Amino acid sequence: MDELERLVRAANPSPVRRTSTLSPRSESDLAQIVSAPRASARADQGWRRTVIWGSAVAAGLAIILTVTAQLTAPRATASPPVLAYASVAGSAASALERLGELARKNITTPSSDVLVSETWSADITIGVAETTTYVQPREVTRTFRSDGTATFVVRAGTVRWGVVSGDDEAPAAGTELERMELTAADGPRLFVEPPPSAGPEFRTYLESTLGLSEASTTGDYFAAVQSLRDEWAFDGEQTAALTELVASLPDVTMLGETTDRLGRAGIAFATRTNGDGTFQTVLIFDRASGALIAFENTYLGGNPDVALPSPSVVNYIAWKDQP
Amino acid sequence: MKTVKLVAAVVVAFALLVPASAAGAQPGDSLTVRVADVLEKFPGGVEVAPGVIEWDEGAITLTLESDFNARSIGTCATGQYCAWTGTFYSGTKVAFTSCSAGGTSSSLATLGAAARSTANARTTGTVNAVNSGTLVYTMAANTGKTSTAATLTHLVCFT
Repeated sequence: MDELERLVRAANPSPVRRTSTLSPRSESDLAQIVSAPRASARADQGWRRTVIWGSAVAAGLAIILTVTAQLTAPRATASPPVLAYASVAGSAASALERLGELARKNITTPSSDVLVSETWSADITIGVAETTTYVQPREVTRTFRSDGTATFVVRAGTVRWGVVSGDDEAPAAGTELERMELTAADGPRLFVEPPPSAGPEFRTYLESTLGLSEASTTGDYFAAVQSLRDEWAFDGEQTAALTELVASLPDVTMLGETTDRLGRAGIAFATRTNGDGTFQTVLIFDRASGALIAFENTYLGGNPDVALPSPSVVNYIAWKDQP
Repeated sequence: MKTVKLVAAVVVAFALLVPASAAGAQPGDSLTVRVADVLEKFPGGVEVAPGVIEWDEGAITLTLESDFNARSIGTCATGQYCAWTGTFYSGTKVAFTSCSAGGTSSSLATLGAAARSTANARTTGTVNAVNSGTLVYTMAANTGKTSTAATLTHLVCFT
């Protein structure tokens, strides 16, 4: 009894009990099977080997291609969703003028020296695909004092988007992440003097502080406004001066009505002149009060060094210290 | 078998060296001295890069940390140089690692906004902050600039 016969007998493919002997018909079939030339069986085995090896190679290739794709392609790293905008009638200039009027009327409180914002920023490492699975904003409180000293405190916010995966650990909301006690010599403010209250002076003020020039883009001015707002709250006149400046800049588009990260209704203005046109930078004004309430920066794609999907929000700041 | 012995030897060497460096971090213990120490105890290795020793034609590699006092600056990890859109290392961050003797220039266009603070968290070598080819300031190893009003277009890293 060779191996094949032993296996067939052991399998006993008849509908009777497995332990019973084979029927005469089965014995006859078995005799035919074991006496048949084995070449066909070998050919079958060879075909099976080919299929198995082919499948293994295909599976291997699939794994390699998948891993390679994951290493080279932009990953779906967590970032806040891109805001939705609804177009509004009228020009950007008229909307800005209206917001300036609203600000003059509504923002009557003096500038505060305690500035509070919710912020989230991306970390971009050139050549490395980020793998963050969740978005946890931070609450930043900057206290500036008249003697030139300042205290910056950063606290963890609530995880807003995505899911904290197994290996990650998100600090509890409210956890103090960072505290900086700054002396006057540390230069807590880039903008030492408060912003002016008239449009032309507002532009000169930004240009002289940050060295903006004719070569500067509207994106540079938007970023300058964000830096300034991180250091000074604007009263009504200062906000009106800002809206006048924005209206005077080229390459500004009114995106329309939106809701910022804190749920406030606003009107958004954008420029696509930052990072050689690969970013969209947005300023959002409160629809009711006219106050500048938020800044957003979104990567649009087109920079081969940035391994982020496009579009990806890379930074937002929502200022909370004004009504 | 030879490889296994070498692996074991290097693992032992590393195990012996790491506690020593952690406990007795002496400023005088330069990377060169530590490399020489390892090569003396485990001959046959070749230093193929600063602090990187290979045995058996690359079958085994040992990388020594080059500075006991190395530390990150802000969120800029040791070995990187970085720029942020906010002052005091806040806002969007872009991090680079490429450097060369002649200077490797990295564009800050990837930030999507002006750089307002920068850091060189590498343990050796300098990083220049430049505006369209004009030097604005230089950062030595393990130093940073918490705020800058200047326009920066590139960081240039030197080994």
